[in-house]
Amino acid sequence: MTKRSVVALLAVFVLLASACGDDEAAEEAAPEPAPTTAAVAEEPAAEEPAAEEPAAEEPAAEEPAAEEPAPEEPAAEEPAAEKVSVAILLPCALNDLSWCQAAYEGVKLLESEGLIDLQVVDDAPFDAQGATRVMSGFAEEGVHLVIGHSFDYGAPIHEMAPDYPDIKFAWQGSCGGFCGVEGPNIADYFMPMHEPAYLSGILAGGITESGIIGANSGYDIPVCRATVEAFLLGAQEVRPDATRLDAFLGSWIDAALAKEATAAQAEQGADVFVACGNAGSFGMIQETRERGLSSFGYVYDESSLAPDNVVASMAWQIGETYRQMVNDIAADNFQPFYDVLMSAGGFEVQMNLDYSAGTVSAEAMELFETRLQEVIDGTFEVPFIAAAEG
Amino acid sequence: MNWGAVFGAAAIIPLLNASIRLAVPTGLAAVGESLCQRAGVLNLSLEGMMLSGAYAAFLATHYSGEPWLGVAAGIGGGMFIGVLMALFSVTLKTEQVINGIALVLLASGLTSFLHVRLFGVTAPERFDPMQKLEIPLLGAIPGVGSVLFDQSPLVYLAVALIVVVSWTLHRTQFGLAVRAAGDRPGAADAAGISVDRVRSAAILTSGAMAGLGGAVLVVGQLGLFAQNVTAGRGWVAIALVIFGRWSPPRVAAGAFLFGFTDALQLRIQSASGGIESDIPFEFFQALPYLVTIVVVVVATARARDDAQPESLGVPYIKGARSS
Amino acid sequence: MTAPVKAMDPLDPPDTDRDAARLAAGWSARLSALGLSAAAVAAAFLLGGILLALAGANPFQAYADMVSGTFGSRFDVSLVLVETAPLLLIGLGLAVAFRARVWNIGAEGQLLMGALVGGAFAIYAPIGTRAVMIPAACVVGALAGGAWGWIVGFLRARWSVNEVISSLLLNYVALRILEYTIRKPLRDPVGFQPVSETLPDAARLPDIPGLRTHIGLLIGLGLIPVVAYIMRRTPFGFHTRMMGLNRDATEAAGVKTGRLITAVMVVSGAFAGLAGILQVMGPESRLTGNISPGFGFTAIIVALVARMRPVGVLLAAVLIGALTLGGDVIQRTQQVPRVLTIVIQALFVLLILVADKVGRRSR
Repeated sequence: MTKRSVVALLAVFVLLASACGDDEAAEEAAPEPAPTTAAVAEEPAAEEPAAEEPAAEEPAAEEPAAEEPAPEEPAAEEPAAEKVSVAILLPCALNDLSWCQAAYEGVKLLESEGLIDLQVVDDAPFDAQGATRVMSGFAEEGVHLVIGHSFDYGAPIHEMAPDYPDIKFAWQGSCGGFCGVEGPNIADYFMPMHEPAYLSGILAGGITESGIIGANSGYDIPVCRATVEAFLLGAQEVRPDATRLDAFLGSWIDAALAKEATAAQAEQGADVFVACGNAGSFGMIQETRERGLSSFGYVYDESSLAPDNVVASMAWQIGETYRQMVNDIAADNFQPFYDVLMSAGGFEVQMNLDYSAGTVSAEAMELFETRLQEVIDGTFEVPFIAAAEG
Repeated sequence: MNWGAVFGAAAIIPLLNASIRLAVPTGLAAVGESLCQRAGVLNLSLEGMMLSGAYAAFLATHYSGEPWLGVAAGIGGGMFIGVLMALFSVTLKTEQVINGIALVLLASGLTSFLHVRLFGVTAPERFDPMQKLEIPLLGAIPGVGSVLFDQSPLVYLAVALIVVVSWTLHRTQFGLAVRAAGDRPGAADAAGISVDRVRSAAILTSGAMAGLGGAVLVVGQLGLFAQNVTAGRGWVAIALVIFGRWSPPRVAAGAFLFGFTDALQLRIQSASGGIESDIPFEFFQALPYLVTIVVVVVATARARDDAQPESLGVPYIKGARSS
Repeated sequence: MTAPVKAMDPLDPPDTDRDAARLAAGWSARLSALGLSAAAVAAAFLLGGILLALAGANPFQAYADMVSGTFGSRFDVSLVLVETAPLLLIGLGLAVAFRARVWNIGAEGQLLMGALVGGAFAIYAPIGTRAVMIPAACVVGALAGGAWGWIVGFLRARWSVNEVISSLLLNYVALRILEYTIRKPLRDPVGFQPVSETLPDAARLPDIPGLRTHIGLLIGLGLIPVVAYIMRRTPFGFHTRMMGLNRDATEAAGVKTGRLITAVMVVSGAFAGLAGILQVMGPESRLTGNISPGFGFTAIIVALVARMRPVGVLLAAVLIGALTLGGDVIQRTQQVPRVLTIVIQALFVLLILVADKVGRRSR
C-alpha cells in the first residue's frame, strides 16, 4: 500500500527536520551587513550572490569578480552604503538569448556594479498560485525588491503586495496604470519595444521587395501588437504600400512551429520578418536563413543565429529600467510606473554589420538615422498601438 | 480573405511539403509508440523521450560538428529514457502511467538544467540543419517530385522506419511476439515467448524512434536547442496512436493529417487579414486537435472491432496467479 | 486464459489478495517490507543529493531547508496546503474514473472549463454576498467541468471513442477557448492585458482561520468521506468498481455501462471543474491564460500513487505540494535551479513507486 511509503517518506522528512534544526538557528544568526529596513532582519546567511546559479562557465566579461559581501569597504559612492536586495522571477531559461536573458543580464549588470544583492529564479512558474508561492518566499525572507518579469505576475503581486508593505514589487505590465494592479509598493515597468520596432520597420521598408512583412507572435498581447503595428508603420514611411501578414502561435516555446509560420508567410510573398516571442524569433530567423531572407532579433542581440540574415536586433537594455528602480528605492522614492524609453537608453537597435541577405536602401538608411536621433532626443514619438479600438 | 494564397496551384506543393515537415517528428514518435502499445506497454514518457533525443542530438552535433552523429545521439537519447521506462515498467513492474509522466518531468528538468549548466549565458553556436537531399530523376518530377523526393534525408529515414515497423509488426516472428505480449501475455509466455524481453525491446524501439523525432526537430529543422523544444508533440503522438487504431500505417497517416492541418492553419492565419480577422485565430490554433477528434469519431463509429491491445497498460508478472 | 491479466492489474488491487497476504505475512515480513520501502526512499534522497551536489549545493543543507521550509512554520504549511487543494480535488475525481478504468487524461481541460464558466458567472452574476456567491459559482464551475467531461463520456458510450484521445485533445481545445474568451469577450474592459477583470469581493475565497490557505481546501477535505461513502456504499460506487474489474460481467448483470461511463466522466470532470473555479476564486483572483501549471496531469500521479483511495489522494497531494514548495525553498536558500528541483520531484515519484512495489512483493 502506497500509504506506507508515503508515511515512510514523511517520517524521513521529520527525522531530517529535527536533526537539522540547529543548523537553521546557526544560520539565522550569521552576521549580515546592517539591514536598512526591519523586514530585512531575518535575511539568512550571507547571500552568495546568485552568481552560483547560472553555471560557472560564464564569460569572464559578465562575471562580476565575485563580490563576497565586503562590508569593510564602504566604497566612495553612496549607493554602496546600502545595497538593495533584489529577487527576480524569470519565466524562462536565463540563457534563452531573448526575453529572460535580457532581464538576467540587466540585473547582473547592476550586481556587478555593486548596486544590488541578487537572487534569480529562472523557469519560474507563471500561474498566480506558483508565482505567489515563490515571491512570498522572498517576501518573507525580506528582500527589498521583488521583480516579476512577465505580465502574468501582475495579478499575484496585486494580491500579495498589501501583506508586505515594506517590500517593493515590480512587474512587467507595460500598463501605465490601466491594469488594476496598484499599490504604494507596486511598480509597473514598460517594455517600449514599439520604438525599436518602428525604427526596424524603416529598415525593413528599405529592404523589402514585395512590400510584404511577415510577423509571428506568441499571443495577441498588447506589447506584441504594439511591436508589429509600429514595425509596419515604420516600413510604410519608406514603402507606403507595405502590408503585413500575421500569425499567432499560441506558444512561447514552439520554435519549430514558428519556423513553419515564417515559411507559410514567405510562400505568401513576405520577405522581411519580425517576431514577438523568444522561440518565435528562433524559428523565424532559422527559416529566413534557409531562404536567404531578412529578419530582426527579438529583445536581445540574436544576430549570431543567422549572421547573414539578421538585419538588426531590438535589444532591451532593461538594466537601465532596473537601475532607476533601485536608485529610487535607495532614495525612498519608489514610482508606480517606470517607462525607460530609448531616449533614456532603455532600448537599442543593434545593427548587425555582417547582414548581407539584402540591402537597406540609402533612403531608408538615412531616414532611419534621422528618426533614431529624433527618438533618442524625444522629438519623435512612436505611436503605441496596443489594440484595434485605439 | 485570399484563399488563393492557401489553396492556389502554386501554394499546394509548399503546403504538402510543410505538412511533411510538421508530421515527421510527431509521426516517428507515434509509430514507435504504436509498437510499444501493441506489446502492452502504455508508454506515456514519449514527450520525455523526444526531448531527451532532441538534446542528445543537439549536444552531439554541437561538439562533433557532424549532424549524422547528432542523429545517432538523438536515437540514443530517446533510448536512454526508454531504458528507464523499461526498468520501471517491465523489470520493476511499477505503474506505467506514473512512470511515464514522471519520466517526462525528468527529461524536461534534466535537459533544461544541463543546457544552463553547460553553456551558462553564452548561447552555443547554432549549426546548419541537414541539407535537403533530392533523389535524382524522381525529384525532378514536376509537383509531386519535390514533395516526395526532395526532402531532408531524415524524412526518407522516417518513412523507411515506418515501413519497417509496420512490416515487422505484421510479418515477422518478432511482430507476432509483440502482439502476443500485448494481447495475451500469459499465452505468449506459455508458448515460450519472454514477455519481459519483448516488451523491453518494444519500449527501446519506441525510445529510439521518439528520440529520432526529437533529433529531426533539432538537427533537421532548427539547428539549435531551446528549452522544451518538443513543445508537447509527444502527447499529440500518443493521441495519434489511438487515432490510428494501433496500426502503424494508419498512425502515420494520422500524423500527416495533423501536420497538414497545422500547416494549413498557419497559412489561413497569415492570409486571413491580420490581427483583426473575422474568425478568432484561436479557432485555427485548435483546428488540428478538432479535426483529429472528428476523424476519430467518424472512424470509430464505423469500425466494428475494438483494436486496443487487450493487456495494454497491464504489467505482466510471470506465473502469478494464472488460472 | 486471459483471466490472470485482470486479476494482476495493480489498478484494482483485489482486496482478497491483500487480505490473504496480510494473514500470511507476519510482523517480520511487514517490517522488512517497510525497510525496503525506506531503502528505496533513501535511494531517492541519495540520487537527488548527488544532483544537488552537482548543482553546487550542499545536499544535506538542501534537504534540511526543504523540510524546514515546508513544515517549519504555519505560513509554510499554509503554502503546502494551497498546493494541495487543487490536486486533492482533481485527484478525488480521477480516483473515481480510474476505479472504473475510465482513463480521463482531460482533467486539465475540465479544470479550465470550470474556471472559465464559473469565473464568468462570478464576474457577471449580480450576487453580493459570499454565502450565496461562492457556493453558486462552485456549482456552475463543477457543472461546466462536468459538461466538458460529459463530451468524452458521450463519445465513448455512443461511438466507443477511446476516452484517452478525446480527453487529451479536448485539453488543447479548452485552452484555446479560454484564451479567446479572455482576449475578447471577457477581457477586462478597462484593462490592458488579455485577462478578465478581478473577481468581485463576494467571489473571493476567505482563508481558513489561522492559516493562509483558502477554504477550497476544506471543500476538498469534506469531499473525501463523501467520495469514500459513495464508492463503498452506493449502487453507483458498486457498479463503478465492478465495471473497473470486469466490464462485460457488469453489462451482463444488467448495468448500462455506457450510461455509467458517461456518469463517471461527468463526476470526474465536475471535480476538476470545481478545482478550477476554486483556483480562480482563490489564488488566481481573475481569469488568465495560465490558471493551471498542469494540475490536471499532476493529479493523475496523485490519484494513481494513492491507488484511488480517497485518503491516499490527500496524502499524495500533500506530498506533491510539499515537494513543490520544497523545490522553491532550495532554489532560494541553495541556488538550486528550479528545473533541477523538478528532476528531484520526478525521482521521488519514481522511487516511491519502487518502494511501494518492493514493499508489496516482499510480502
